[in-house]
Amino acid sequence: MIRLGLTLTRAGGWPRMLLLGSCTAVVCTLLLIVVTFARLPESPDEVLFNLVADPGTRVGTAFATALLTLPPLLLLYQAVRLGTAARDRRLAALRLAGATPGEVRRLGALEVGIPALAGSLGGVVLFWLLRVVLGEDATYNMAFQSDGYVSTLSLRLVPTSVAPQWWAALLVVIGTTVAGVTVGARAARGVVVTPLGVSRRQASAPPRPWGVLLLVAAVLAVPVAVGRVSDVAPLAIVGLAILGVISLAPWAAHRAGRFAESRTASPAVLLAARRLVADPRPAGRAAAAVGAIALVSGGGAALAADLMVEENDDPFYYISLALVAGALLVALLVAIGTLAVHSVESLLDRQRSVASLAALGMPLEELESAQRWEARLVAMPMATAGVLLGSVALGALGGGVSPVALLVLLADVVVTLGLVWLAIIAAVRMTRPWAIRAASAANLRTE
Amino acid sequence: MSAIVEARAVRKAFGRTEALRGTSLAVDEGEVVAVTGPSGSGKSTLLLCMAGVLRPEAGEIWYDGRKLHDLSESDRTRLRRREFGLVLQFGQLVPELTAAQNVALPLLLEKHDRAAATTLATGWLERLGALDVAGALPGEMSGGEAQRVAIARALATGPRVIFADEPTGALDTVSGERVLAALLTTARESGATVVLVTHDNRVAASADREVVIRDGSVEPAPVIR
Repeated sequence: MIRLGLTLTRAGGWPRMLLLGSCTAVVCTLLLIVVTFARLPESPDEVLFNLVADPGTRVGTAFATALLTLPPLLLLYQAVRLGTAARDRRLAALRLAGATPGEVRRLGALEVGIPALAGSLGGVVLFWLLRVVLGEDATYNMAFQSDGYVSTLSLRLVPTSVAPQWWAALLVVIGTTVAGVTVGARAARGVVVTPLGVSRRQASAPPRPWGVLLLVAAVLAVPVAVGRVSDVAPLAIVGLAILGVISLAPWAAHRAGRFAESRTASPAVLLAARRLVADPRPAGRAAAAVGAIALVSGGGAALAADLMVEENDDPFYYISLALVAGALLVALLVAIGTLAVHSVESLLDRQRSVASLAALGMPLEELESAQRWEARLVAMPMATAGVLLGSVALGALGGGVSPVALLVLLADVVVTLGLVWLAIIAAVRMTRPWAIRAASAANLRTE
Repeated sequence: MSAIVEARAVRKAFGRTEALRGTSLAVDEGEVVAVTGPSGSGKSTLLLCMAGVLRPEAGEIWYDGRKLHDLSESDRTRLRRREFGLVLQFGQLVPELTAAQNVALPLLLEKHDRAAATTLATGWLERLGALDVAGALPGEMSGGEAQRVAIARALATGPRVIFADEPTGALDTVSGERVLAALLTTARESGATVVLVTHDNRVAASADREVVIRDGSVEPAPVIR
């Protein structure tokens, strides 16, 4: 079974395998860093940036680090779906060869599980390399103040004086692999593999806006959290809001499709809108990361505005915000990958109709424009809503509305939407070779 | 009568397989030509070359006094959209679009406004007896209905030449006959030229002329009706 699983994994292609492995490696590394944060004593024996060194902010930093696993997990989800047509044909051939439905399911899980396990183990190596690189000046030039805090401003974020226990590392590896396999199984949900081929159970009903409940819970929790000295309440609010945004994404994709379909005279927008209406979930998932990034960006803008209003010039806060901005940019790069993978998946699934459109006289630019609109119609509203929600929620926690806050918010909306717009252009541009291949007349030929 | 579309000594290979070996075919304006021959003889390849979809490795395709492959890719694409209509064996409709939207799509590409495109699309569906399925997705239609929608899409922009590749190949006899009658009647009414690839003798019998292709070459003596 494992040998067959390995063969199937190889048949999926190296790029897909590499993508799956890279995603789980990043997730595993981030989780190991979180475990390391948890092992740090109250006063660490090394110089670390205050976000990590200070026990008061450490929980939040650990939480933010854990949240950073969401973009690679969403990318993993899309990567698993990549090349599903070829994968489904392989599984159908196995059914024809006598494999039972259960064996096919297990083989399907192995196909994702093997690169996920390799990626998780790679994540451990990556984590240890990170420690080796950072470990050189771990205790260099420490200068304690009378209150016990380190006065040296260091940007070191990964502790090296403590390490995860072996069993904790093992649990992270197993957990990450299982997460990969679970995501893989979810991506293959609804696929019915029979000896005569593969069919997909189409979702009978459009997605429901259940995510609104999470967002409402997050908003309702804001007044409770205001004025309380607690680490957990703001984190819970952010967590609820991010989960809400991610859960709402497929519904938002469906609604955006319906809205655009009934108003547009542009062939590209019509195609994009109908694709969203017909199958809103993949595009919604691809845009979910963008919404979550925008939410955190909005929160960051609210905090920045608060600092400006209070004329607080402590570099710690500004460096912290810069680090958050850096993390968001990295997350946006991963989101570009997710959008690109969704775009490729969409092209591979629709090769014949894309080729037929090209043959009928639809230019490649128009086909690419449809790809861009499919992402834009969901990602832009999600990004706008995310920034506004994040800034309003954190603005309320921080202290209210002011002209400076509004100005910072406006700047954040413009920058975030601009970056998302550019990210979509970059993602679709990356997929041009697949678009050219999909539009090829060879795909018009009958099977 | 002069040829509106002509293939001159066209060669096309896929890897080591030579699909067309110096094939020539001239089709006059308003003529309905059936290209027949066994499977793998190169019929569809010739059709796609003549429609400007495939680029031949050697030889020339002429359309209305212009050499097709001297045109830029975008000019050729525009030409296909405005002057040619394409019908394929399985319709190849866009699965996410309704029948009316599929037919309206080439009109929207030609910058018709939404209302005008919808009106024209509905009119074509009515002419082809497919108005009942205007709001249906291709997956919800029968093979015959999908083919009639594909023909409506091909005719919507008022093309001068219709290229049809096995338009009845995936249909039962009754549906096939209806689809063929719809295609030929509408094409003749609008004066369009039709190049029809088929391996069905009954379909070929409906054409003005039959051309047989074997092993990538036109048979020496084409049958004249």
